[in-house]
Parts: sequence; C-alpha cells; structure tokens
Amino acid sequence: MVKRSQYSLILILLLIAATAWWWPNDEKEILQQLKTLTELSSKQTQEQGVEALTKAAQIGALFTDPCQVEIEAYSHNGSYSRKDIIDRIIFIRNRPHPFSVSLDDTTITLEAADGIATVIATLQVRGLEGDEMVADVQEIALVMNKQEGEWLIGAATVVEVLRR
Amino acid sequence: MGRRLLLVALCSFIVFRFLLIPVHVRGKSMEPTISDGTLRFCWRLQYLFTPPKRFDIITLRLAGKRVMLLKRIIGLPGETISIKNGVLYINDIETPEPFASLPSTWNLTARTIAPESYYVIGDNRNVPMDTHHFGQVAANRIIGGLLW
Repeated sequence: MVKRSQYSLILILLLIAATAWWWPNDEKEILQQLKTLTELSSKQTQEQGVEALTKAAQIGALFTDPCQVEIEAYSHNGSYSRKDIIDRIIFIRNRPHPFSVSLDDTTITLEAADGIATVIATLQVRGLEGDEMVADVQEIALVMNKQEGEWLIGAATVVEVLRR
Repeated sequence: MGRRLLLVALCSFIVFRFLLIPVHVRGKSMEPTISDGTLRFCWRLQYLFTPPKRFDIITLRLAGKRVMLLKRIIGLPGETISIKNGVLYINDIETPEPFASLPSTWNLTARTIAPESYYVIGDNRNVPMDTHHFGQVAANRIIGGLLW
C-alpha cells in the first residue's frame, strides 16, 4: 500500500514535470521565432523571384514597424520600416551563392509584464565567397516586443567587441 | 576501478570545461607566434589575482560562450597608443615588439585606451590593416591567458 502510494507520487511528479516542460511559455515562443528567422534567412539554392519576395516578406513580418537597427562598428543607428527591411533582405538575397544563418548561445531576459524581452545571441553567417567557404560571427542584441500575442524584433544591435 | 574512472572523468570535465579551455585556432592573425589549425589552451585563472600585462596573449570572448579571439595586449588602460610605419608607440615612446617579426607598414593614429579596457592586436601585421581585427576591448571580455 505504501509502495503504491510512493509510485503514485512519483508518477504525479513526473506528470507535473512533463507538463511544465511542454507547456508553452514566452521563452519558447521567442526561441521559435528566432528559429523561424534563421530558417527563412538561410538560402540553400538559387531562388526564383516570387520565392525570394515571399521569404523576404516573411522575414520582415518578424520585425516591428518601425524597427531600430544599430551597427556599432559603423556608428550606424537608424529606424527602419518593415518595407525598408524587406527591401534590404531582397538585396542581400540577390547573391548567387547559398548561405546559412544560425543563432547560437541564446540568452533571453524576460520582462514579461511589459511584453519586452532582451535576447543576446551569436549570429553566424556562412557562405561561399568565390571558391572559399567563409564565416562571419557577431554578437547581436535584440529587443523583442510582444504585439498581439506575437514576439517581434523591435531593435537589433550588432555588438562591437573590438573598437579601433 | 569504476569509481576511479568516474572520478577521473569528473575531474577532466571540471578542468577542461571551466579552468583549462581547449582552443582550436582558426586564422592567421597571430602568426608566426600561433599557427592556424593548432590546438592551444586558455587558462581561466591567469588573471584571478593580477591584471593582464602588456604583451600577454589573451583569450577574449567574441560572441556567446564558444567564439573567442586570441590576441596580444599592446596597450593598458589610460595609455595612448599609435603605430607609425609598423612601429608601436606607447604615450609617444617607441616600444619594441620582438614577436611582431613579420614586416608591417601599418599606420594607426594616436588613441587613448578607455579605463578598464585593453588594446589588443595580432602578431601578424603583414596583411592589409583593414582585414585585421584589432582594437580596444573591455576587460570583462577577457576570459584568460594562453597557457601554451
């Protein structure tokens, strides 16, 4: 009898842990958005016009309108509309060579009550330049805002680690 | 036997995960001192009690937990550094760098290093300056020193 109740207790605890693990939360939603961003951003093959436009629009939809973009290395700090972002994405995707985009080592700080989250991550872009595979790695900081139930990128900063 | 193996595994994990970090070198910015493709180790406790010194080779965190840079410190907080025709000047005094043995014609105008920052650069200056990543870095990005 005692053993059965112990097993029941363990089972209940496991069920609670599993529920907590699988239950959707803001952090998981943010990670899913970032995963969507990297999947859409990567380009494996030459894209047709409509496909490129569709992907650019889908990527643009992950940003607020407008969005702040800061590139510290070039002292660039500007506000971009969603259309600006889509246009720039189309320009970048015009490159003939495939490239992959990934975000690693992601840390998320939530101020859920305000619907704001800060994300620090490692952005890695790998692609062919001529015959050589090259990679660029940057630390980026994102400020995400929850709008109508969706986490969107409100500000993006490319962190400058070495300042000349 | 099993317990000893477990202990060795645990100690190895702690040492190589938190204290002595293996670093696979990719790039030629520190040649000829450190060659591309070699394996080195970063000692995380190097600066536990003493601050970094000039000409130390340090490991600094570029992005996340895994992407690091190996560079040499040439300037300390508050100093003014410049490079004229490949020669380093610290506070307007010519400073020899025996390890930067490859020829260089770099020119870098004078700049003052911010407090709690260090100026780092690679040893290989026989490349166009624009292609070399160097500059001042915040002290909190320094992970450790190069053990070997």
